[in-house]
Amino acid sequence: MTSADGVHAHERPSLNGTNSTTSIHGTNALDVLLIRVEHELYAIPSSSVREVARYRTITPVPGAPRSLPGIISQRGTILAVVDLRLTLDLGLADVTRASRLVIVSHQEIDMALLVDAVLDLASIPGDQIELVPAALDPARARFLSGIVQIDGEPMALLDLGELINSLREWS
Amino acid sequence: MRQFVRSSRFLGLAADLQGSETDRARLLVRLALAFAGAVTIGAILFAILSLIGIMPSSLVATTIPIILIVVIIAGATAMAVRMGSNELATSVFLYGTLVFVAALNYMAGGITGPAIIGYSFPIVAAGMFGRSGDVVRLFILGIIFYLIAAIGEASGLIVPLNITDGTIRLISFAIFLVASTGLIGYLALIWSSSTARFVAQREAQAEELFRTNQRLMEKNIQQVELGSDLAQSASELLSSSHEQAGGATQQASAVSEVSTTIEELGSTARQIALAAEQVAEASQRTLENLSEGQDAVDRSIQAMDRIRSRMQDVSARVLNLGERSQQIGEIIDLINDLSDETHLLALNAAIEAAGAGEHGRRFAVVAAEVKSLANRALAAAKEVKGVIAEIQKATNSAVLAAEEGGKEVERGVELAHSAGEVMNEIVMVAERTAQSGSEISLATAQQQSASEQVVETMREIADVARRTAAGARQVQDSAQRLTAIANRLHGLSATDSGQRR
Amino acid sequence: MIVLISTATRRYAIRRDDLTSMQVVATDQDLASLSTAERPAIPIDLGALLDPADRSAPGRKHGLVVPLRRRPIVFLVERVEQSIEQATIRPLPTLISGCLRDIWAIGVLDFDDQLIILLDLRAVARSSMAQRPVATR
Repeated sequence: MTSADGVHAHERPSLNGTNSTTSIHGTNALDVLLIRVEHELYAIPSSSVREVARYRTITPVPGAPRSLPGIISQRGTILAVVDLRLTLDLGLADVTRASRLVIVSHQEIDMALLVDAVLDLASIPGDQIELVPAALDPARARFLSGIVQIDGEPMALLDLGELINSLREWS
Repeated sequence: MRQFVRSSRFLGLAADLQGSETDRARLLVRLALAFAGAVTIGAILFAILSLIGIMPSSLVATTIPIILIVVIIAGATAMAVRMGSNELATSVFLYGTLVFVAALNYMAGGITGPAIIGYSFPIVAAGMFGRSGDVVRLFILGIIFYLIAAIGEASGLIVPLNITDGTIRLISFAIFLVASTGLIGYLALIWSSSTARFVAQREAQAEELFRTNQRLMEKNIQQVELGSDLAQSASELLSSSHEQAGGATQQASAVSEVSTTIEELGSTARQIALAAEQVAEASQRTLENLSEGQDAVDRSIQAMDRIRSRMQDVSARVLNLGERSQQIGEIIDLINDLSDETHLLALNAAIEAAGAGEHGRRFAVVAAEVKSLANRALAAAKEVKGVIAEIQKATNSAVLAAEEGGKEVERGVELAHSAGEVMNEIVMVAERTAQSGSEISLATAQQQSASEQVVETMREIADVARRTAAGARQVQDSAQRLTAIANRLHGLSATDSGQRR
Repeated sequence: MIVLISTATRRYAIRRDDLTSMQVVATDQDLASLSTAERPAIPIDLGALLDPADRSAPGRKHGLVVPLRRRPIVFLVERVEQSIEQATIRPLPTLISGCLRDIWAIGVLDFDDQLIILLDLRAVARSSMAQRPVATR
């Protein structure tokens, strides 16, 4: 079916100029990809991001935990899909036009993260990264490696290593 | 209740009550005999022991009075029972044994002798026989006897016989103990077995009573039910006889009604004939009016049909528009897909550029161009989408309006058609009515002409009869005149002949 | 040799060597013919076992007979589609294979632009004897 506008305007902001982010030595700015999971914003280090792709049908794998809805094939590679909405224990909205699969690679492990929208690349000055507040729900806090303010909105940095560890705990 | 008393069962129960009395008396006699027997055996035993030399020799002398006393007591008890007064017998036995024990105490060693054990026997026996008053009395009497004996012995006034000591004393105590406890035990035994029998009898009797009572109650209930059945049947008979009487009356009135109705039918038939004439006239007038109405309906139906075919044309064209609109929708989807892809392309390019270091800087420029291209494409697509959305909306409402209009026309046509049908039906009814009316008029007219013919015929017959009558009179007149003439002729001839001679 | 099968809403791949036979199961007779007195056959709806939402309506089914030591298991599927002689089986991503509750999926087949999971039916049969779901036929 056609929804005339499946993506809200504010989710297509202009990309930053790339001047300040290309040098990986010397500056302690962190380049991140901003994503939206349910109503919350998260940031993934862009060094881990391989590609952003549109949603396509996922092949379920019997016996897999709920947060691993299945596998996809991307440019000949078979990847496990991790549903960030379930992993972060947020609600489960329907998949829309704006849903995306963010293909990441962390320490030689590739996976596709299912998110509700991808916003943009951004560069965060290192000194603006704060610690995760202790008051946060520990089940979710384990996946965050820091909090940063962007335009007054708090954004959590995702810790991909912890994500992979938590999945290993399932066996 | 009288029934109850007369029943043989009840008499049997009464007999049983008396039977229990006999049972008691038997018990008492048995006890008395046992008592006498035990004492006698004991006394003889003591006598033998004294003859042997174990017991003092004076014992032999006391044996006889002892035996005598107990035999008297037992005998008196039995006689009292034979005479029929159990109460007296029981008293004789109880108080007799008490006195005997008191005497025995004197004769066998006194208040420190073995005979004191015997005091318990009459008291226990009294309790067994249900003599609660006597229990107390015997107890008090026993104490009194004992005290008298004690005072007497202490003051030296009474010297009991046969005082023993040492082993002999022990032996005598043992013998007395065995005798007393044996007696009391025997008493308890015969009493309990008799009681058990008694209780069993009572239970059986209670069962019997209960069952008899049940049966009587059932009989009573049956009688009551029977009575009410009878009452019900009686009232039914009464009501049905009322009905019959009423029915007969109704028949009578129904018969008279029928005769009245037949008369009324006659007058009604005349009225119907009149009404039929009126209807015939009315339907004739209706027919003339209707033919005008039908023309009008036919014309409106034709007009509706023309409108309908025009509407169908419009609908077909609008439907076409709708399909086009669908295609446009698919194009919009395509545009959306393209802009998504373009955006992703730009994003992925930027990601690559960010990670590629120096080389990435040049690539980043390309990525930025792609990005701005994507934005422009997006903006253009949005405009197109907006316009198309408007067109779609307008088309949809046109389609809807056309459908609605079509429906209205359809409804109008249906209404006109059903009006036409209704008209046809009315016309048919009117024609049929007219026909019936004219048939009735015709029949009535025929009837009338027939009766007129009858009248005519009657008149003709009367005329003929009158003429016949008139003719007959003329003939009669003529005959009279002829007769007169004939007579005159006859007379003349007679005279003539008379004269000539 | 690999065999492609379809359930009510999915497709799976299985190894021919896991089975003793494949046949039509339409009536009670057909099922009874696979049982003996000491070894009664147990029918199991394969689709529903792997995904409760993938339950098929009763009717004519194809049965895949997997022999266990005590009795044969008959996995019921909608259709056996085709067999593939030379199939390229690729391994599951380690991320997923490392956290499977039961090791039933042992590989992936890229067929017809679709990813099809390869099942180890013997492992499925052994686990399913522990808890038996209701079968439809």
